[in-house]
Amino acid sequence: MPPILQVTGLAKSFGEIRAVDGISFAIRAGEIHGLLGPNGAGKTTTISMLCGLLRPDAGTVVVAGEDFWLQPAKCKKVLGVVPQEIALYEELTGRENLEFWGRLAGLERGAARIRAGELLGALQLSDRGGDPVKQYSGGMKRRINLGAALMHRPRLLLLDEPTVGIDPQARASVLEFIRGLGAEGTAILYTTHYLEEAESFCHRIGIIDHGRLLAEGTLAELQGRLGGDRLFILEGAFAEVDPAVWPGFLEQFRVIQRTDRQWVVSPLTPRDPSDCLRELLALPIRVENVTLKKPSLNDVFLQLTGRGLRE
Amino acid sequence: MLRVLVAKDLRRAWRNPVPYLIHLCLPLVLTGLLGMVFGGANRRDGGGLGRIQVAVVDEDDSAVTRLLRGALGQEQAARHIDAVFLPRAEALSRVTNNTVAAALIIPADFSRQYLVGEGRLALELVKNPARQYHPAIVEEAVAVITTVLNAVARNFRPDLAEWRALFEAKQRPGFQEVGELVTKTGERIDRAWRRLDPIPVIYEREASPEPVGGGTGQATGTGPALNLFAFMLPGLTAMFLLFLADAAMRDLHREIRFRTFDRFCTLPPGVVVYVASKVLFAMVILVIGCVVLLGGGSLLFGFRWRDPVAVVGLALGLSVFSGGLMAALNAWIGGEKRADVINNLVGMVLGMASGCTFPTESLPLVLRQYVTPYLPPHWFLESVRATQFEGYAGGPWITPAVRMLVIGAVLTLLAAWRLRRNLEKGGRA
Repeated sequence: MPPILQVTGLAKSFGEIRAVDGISFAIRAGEIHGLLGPNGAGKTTTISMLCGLLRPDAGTVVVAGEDFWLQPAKCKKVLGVVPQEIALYEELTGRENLEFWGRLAGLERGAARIRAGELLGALQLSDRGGDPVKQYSGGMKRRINLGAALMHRPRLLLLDEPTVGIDPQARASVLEFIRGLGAEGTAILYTTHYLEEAESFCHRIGIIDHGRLLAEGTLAELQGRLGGDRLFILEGAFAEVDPAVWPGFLEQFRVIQRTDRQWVVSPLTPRDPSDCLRELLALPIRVENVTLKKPSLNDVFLQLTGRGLRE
Repeated sequence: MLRVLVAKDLRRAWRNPVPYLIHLCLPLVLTGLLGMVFGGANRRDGGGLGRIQVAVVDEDDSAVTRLLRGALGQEQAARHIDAVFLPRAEALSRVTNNTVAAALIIPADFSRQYLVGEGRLALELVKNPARQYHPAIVEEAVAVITTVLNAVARNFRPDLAEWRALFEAKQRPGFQEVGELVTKTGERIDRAWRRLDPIPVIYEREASPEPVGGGTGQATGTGPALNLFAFMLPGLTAMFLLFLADAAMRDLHREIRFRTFDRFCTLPPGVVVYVASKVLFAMVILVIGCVVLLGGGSLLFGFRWRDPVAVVGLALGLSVFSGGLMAALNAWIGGEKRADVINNLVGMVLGMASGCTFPTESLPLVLRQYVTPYLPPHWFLESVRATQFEGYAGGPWITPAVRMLVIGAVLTLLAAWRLRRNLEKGGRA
């Protein structure tokens, strides 16, 4: 199945700052592709180049087989974009907003009216559809913001941190809705800096930092980069310790993160955890505590960048 | 697509009309205030200028000046002039106390010397500087009177001697004697009429049933020669249309701030469509503004436009120009706050330099000669006034209207180009 979105070598600079540096990935129908990175990593710039808000300095964007910058109007018909901020008219009602954005996306008046009704129902806003958006809560605005991008049933949906600033209940509702869209065959690019969101429903995840795509794959593939499905957290007085002097240690383990009091260590190859634990406890240092855990995306990010996603 | 975009903006404006209402009310209020300052509130007493209070000091107290007294008391004169006959000291005191606009002093023996044709005669006019408008009118009127008196003296010298004899006769003149003199003078007037006609045109205009300056037909000649409201309203309208266009086009910044512009850019219609829709929206608002200001203004202030088609055409041209100008300014000026200051400044300076607030003749010479004639709001108001007031200089209205349309369209295209460029460079449009 050919990808709906094929991005190759995408780059964008603002003066001296290289906001996006040679990013490549592809998304197929029904796939939810996460783009995970801290604030300022280049996620929004990437999405802006994919939907026509920014012209890339280099690279190509192919949407449904068409080069975006050669056929922008054609490609935009396939796209639905949910911006990070609420992009709605506060004076208009939820229904009027949906109908308006639907009309701009190419729907006839009657079709827009019907589709707006459907979406208000799906987004559980039927009873508030006639109220001005300025009277909505943050979560309700987010849902209308999402609905406005879905009016023309786009084959590719670009979601730029659509759950920022809303309560957990509203977030769960939005995520559930997005999951349903993926199940119906919509290809989705989902940027977020929430690890849990990326882990919970993205089929593939790209980790981005300083404009570069550091790793990309399924959750299992990314976890596999750490050498297995277990991480060891050692606690003790490690200020003066240099693991390079221990014979054979760096051939067996990688220290993902180290502070004066704590090391996060992963085995380089898949091995039995008890064997690993035995070897770690045999090291010539005083280990006060050892914790075993499954690696998270944060650990992957930690391994790739040397810092946590939340730092 | 344009219709959808404009309908959306109109709906939003309808639900939040305050910014637009302010710009619609202000020029009407200002026109009303300024008109009333110059006496325009009491239409029955002069319809725009008010009655001019004049003190007349009749030190001559002759039959001729008694005739003048009678003439001033007649209905037509009384409608414009509130004349009170006083001794010199009292008249001058009233000038000093600012209760009259001027004092006209007719010196003793004036009539006799005039009828005899002796030497050089003088009428004395003491103007009240505290009243800047009315004394100037009185002065003009006195100048007209002296011109007429001079003309009569030159052309009717033989008759004047007989009239003097008649006035100075100790016994009452006989009807036959008076009748012969009237007939003789009348024949002379008839002969001179061909040369004198038209005698001072301004009197003809005041007496015409449809007052120049667009007084209402209902007034049947009771209106003024120049309706101040009709004169001022186009200027204030031109300036406030710029502000109104700015209020409408400033929505561009609101759309950028609320990211709806970004969202629009992710959809198939291009930025040119978007900017065109904003200009069209501004135009609709401006046309509504024109209807309220020019149409409502004429109803409110009691005059009518003599050439409504020309006014509509010019208003349309000005609307496109104002919309295009403000679109270009908003596209070029980055931030909303900066635009807030600069656009208002541009609107005000452009309006003033165009003669919207002060008469063009009052502007500095350099401005009047090298700047004002090239400003579209000036074209608008001069053309409207030219269609409204007879004798007001100005060419056909179509040329300035078309010029404003073309300039407005070019500015709109420039604004769209600039917005597109900003967007592609990564700015927030």
